[in-house]
Amino acid sequence: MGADVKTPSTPAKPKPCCVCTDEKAKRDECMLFSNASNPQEECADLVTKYKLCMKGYGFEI
Amino acid sequence: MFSSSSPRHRLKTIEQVRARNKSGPFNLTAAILFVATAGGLYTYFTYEKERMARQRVANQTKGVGKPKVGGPFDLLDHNGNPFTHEDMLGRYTLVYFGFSHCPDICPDELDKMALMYEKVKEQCGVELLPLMITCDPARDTPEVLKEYLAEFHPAILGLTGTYDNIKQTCKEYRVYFSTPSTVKPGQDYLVDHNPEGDFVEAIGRNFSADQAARVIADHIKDWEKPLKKDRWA
Repeated sequence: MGADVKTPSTPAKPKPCCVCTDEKAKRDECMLFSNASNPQEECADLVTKYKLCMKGYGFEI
Repeated sequence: MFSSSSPRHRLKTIEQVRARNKSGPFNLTAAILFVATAGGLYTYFTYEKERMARQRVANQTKGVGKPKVGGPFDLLDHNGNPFTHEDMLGRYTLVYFGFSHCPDICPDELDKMALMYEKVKEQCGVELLPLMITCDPARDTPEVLKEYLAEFHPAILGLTGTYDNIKQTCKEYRVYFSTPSTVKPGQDYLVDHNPEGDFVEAIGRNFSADQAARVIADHIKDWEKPLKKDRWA
């Protein structure tokens, strides 16, 4: 982590894989360490943040 | 009498003598020693404090937060045979969640998985069971997966199933899952299991194949019970 996080330096056409990586990492970490029966619900905040970030790049997810 | 003292003393002016008497034993050397000792102690205690904090966090996540990753599932392998969680028992299993239409991440990660498989085999003589569970069951039929995975490594076994079964599996494995109509790249987690079906380690994209292989090899060396040698035994 670190160096390759957040590299929206290609404004031409970013790939969905390579933007909002920070948000995605946080979401996935939350999911992984969640002890709730439905982790996706527990991490809804971070899921929303990631979705919003992706929307900023034009990715509707 | 004065002639017996060192030349240093003879050179002293009365001001120097006064200054020395005033400051007592505190000269430059003592000052440097004092500051150095204080600095050293400060650094040491700060380091120790941080180390203890790190340890406390590690213990916390170990004790309470053994992630509840994994669980029973009922899927199909890419040959169309049923595959359940029981088929993983007795083997170290690498579980990867991806999908064949994944443009960027999955091919890299599958290549890495193939490398890990080879490296672990080389280092420990243990064959991992590399699985790729699709997050896109609508498009990834067993045939599609078989064709797709053939490009990577013959050992990698693709798993698919009904939408509900895949959704359930993703939930158990704590993998973010969105509806098939909006499949997106990013289910990029490798999950490593020990032979009793317990989750061992999550290996994210930030691991290189070498690092991952070392982590897996270390876990395998810690394991003392027998492992199955051939896959379907």
